[in-house]
Amino acid sequence: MVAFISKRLLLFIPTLFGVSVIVFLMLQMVPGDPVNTIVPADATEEERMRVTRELGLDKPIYVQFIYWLVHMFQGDMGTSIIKRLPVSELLLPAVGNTLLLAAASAAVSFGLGLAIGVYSAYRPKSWAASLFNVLGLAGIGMPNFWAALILIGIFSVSLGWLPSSGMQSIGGGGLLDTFRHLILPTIAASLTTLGVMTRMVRSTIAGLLQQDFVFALQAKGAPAGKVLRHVLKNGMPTILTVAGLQFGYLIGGSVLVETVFAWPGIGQLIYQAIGQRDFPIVQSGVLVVAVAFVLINLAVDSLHAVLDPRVRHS
Amino acid sequence: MKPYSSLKKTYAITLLLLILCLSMVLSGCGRGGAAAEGSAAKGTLVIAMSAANIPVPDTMPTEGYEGMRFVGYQLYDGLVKWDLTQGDKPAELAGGLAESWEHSNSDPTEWTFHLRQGVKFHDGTPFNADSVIFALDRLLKPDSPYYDAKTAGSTGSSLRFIAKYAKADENTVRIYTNGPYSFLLYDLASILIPSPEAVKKYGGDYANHPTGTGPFKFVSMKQGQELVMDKNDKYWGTVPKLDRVVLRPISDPSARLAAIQSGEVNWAEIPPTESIEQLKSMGFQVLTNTYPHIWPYVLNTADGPWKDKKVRQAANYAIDREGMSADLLGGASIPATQLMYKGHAWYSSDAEPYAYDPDKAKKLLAEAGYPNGFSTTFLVPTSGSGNMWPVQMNEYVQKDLKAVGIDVKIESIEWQSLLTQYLQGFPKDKEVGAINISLPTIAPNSFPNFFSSAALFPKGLNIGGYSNPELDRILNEAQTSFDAGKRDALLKQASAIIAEDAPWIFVVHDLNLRVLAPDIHGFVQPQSWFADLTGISIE
Repeated sequence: MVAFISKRLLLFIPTLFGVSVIVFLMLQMVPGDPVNTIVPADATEEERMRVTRELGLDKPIYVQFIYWLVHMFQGDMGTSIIKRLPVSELLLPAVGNTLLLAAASAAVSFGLGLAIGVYSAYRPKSWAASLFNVLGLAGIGMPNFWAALILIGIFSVSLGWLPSSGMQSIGGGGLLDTFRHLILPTIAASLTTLGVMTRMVRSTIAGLLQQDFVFALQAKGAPAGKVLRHVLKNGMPTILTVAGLQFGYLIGGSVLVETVFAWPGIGQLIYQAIGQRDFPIVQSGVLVVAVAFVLINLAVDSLHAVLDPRVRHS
Repeated sequence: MKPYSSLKKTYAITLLLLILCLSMVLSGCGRGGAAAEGSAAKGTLVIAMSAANIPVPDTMPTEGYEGMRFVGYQLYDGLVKWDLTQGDKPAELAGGLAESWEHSNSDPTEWTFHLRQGVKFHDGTPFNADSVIFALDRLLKPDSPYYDAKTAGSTGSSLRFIAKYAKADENTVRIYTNGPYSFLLYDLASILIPSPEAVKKYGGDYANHPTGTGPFKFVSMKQGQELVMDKNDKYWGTVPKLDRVVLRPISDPSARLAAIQSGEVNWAEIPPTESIEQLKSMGFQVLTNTYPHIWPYVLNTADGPWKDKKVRQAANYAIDREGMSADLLGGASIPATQLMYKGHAWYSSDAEPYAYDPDKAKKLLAEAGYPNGFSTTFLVPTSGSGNMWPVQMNEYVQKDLKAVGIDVKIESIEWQSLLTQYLQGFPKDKEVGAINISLPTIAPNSFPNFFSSAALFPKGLNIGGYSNPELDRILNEAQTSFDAGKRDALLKQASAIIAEDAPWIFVVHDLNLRVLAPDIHGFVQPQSWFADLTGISIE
């Protein structure tokens, strides 16, 4: 197991280096200049150059990249061009906020997805299964920012039960307050994943229920709970793979939900930084998201290895 | 069959429990929530900004004029400030940290400023001539230990005409310009003065400890979430009635609407225009006012059909500005037929009126040799500060121009790319007839910056290649006229010439749409990009 994980960890280095190079080059190719976001439109060439020099953007690209890389190794993510604050001060809280939202959405969508999927597989003809099927399709089909607006309309504006934006009330704070702010974004962010998970769990479990080992277990008089345990264990590798991908999606793809709920997460931060050509934030932000992706993949693969000896020994 | 039925029971119970949990979560801890939030903090004004992040509170805050509006002018003062207390006339300049000033008769480049005495920065540092010199060194003297290239860069053209400056005595400062320059006071309104002690103490981390002399004091900020300011009890001007101002960045218009409707904020910038009637009927205060903003097309007058003045005038006659303002934008704009709006000191009532007249447009096109019209490309932004609702508005213009025979291909590009393209001038490798970009016109500088021959690309921002010697002469005279009345009269003449020559298609002036909760009192919506929060109370 240790060998398995360390082998995967070694692959980390080329992956992240590759991501850094690609992002760096892509940013150079994007039209637009961060200097334009700083100086007013009617600035002279000289005023523009002074800021360009100050930012180090007058140096050759490879020098800029090496400079960034060396500082990154020293744990220095640089300073935001536009916000004039250390990138780490901006990124790390944003990553935390996004992880919080992603974890809550994952808990809701994986938990409910598993329960509904299993139920629908066992009772494919029941009215509830049909209802869940339709709702699942709606969940996949409905854009999450649209769902977000509807949720805000109902629960914030009409009923006044829950806050519509931000992470904390003015002058508020505390866990309960953050929890209340988390509810609507969580629901909005988890709808698509819930739809995907439900359908995937249902079809996986339904397929397994037709297999000989299930009939064998039932013939031997195994109780339903035990049969379910066996079925789940066989279905887990597939479910885990999809869940891992979906979790990655929840981290990287929640920019619209973050925007609608003014949730200060990393998606919103990177999106905005791209608009302002705030290269240090984009560069380090994408790297942080890449690390998160790789770590999740590693976690999923390790779980695979735990659940399935064939993976461990391959 | 037994196992199945017991399973069914188990799942039914699990499901019920889950639903129960969810509904408890939704309702149980919800009460006393959003509605209470609004009223909980009496004396606290919570503003939903349209920016996606809170402005960095240095002396030239980020997030454009929205940053200046809610952070710059609240935390700091300049020598000169905008008087924003009246809504029935354009905002004018008034004394700020300088109580009075005079312009030398013998040396037209010399200005003397008499500073307000007894003023203290929020950290207790006394304000005096040294603070002014320190602030100017920070922006203008690259070898000063506290020189800040980024802040200097973003203060930009406001610094361009300052040649030198000196302390005359403890409470007097002299500023010298590069040649006679009567627009200096407008420039000084953008130069805000920080506490020298705070800048020295915090150095590179100053933006986390902004310290000025303004009506509000910085308390705290959380990136992406909020910036909190408390009233400055010792403010030299009108002490704010509010105890606290909280800024919240909510970039999505629908989310801002939801936030004010649910009582989470009591001030929201630019709600969706289609919500105006609903908000009014709910008792919210929907405010609009004219201010120096224009939404135009900058035409490429150097090449192609737009070189002909008649073609440019034809396009100006072809657009139904009333229709766009009323139908498309729900009254959030007024028609623009010249650079400034009616009621402004630099607006000319003698200028070409450009009513909606497609027949006249067709006639002018025929006279110019385009009886069957022509095709052209417009570069337009997809969003961006001041650009209003560019996608819908450009489609509206496209339809109107098509009706007179001008077939416009719209090329939408993202805002920063468009801005870069604009600063690089019209593309050389393809035909582009116009660039749609909104630029503020708060200072008389806008005239020479956009229209004078001296500002022709690549030396300046006159990228369309427009040039008129008579206009140059008038603008030059305005820039060196120290009598405000005479200067305004000259700028009025300039407005008429620019309207007649039509180097731009003038479309609309924005009306600064914002909505306030019913219990907000004492705010005057000024004819300005900025806002005075000192008179506001919550009752």
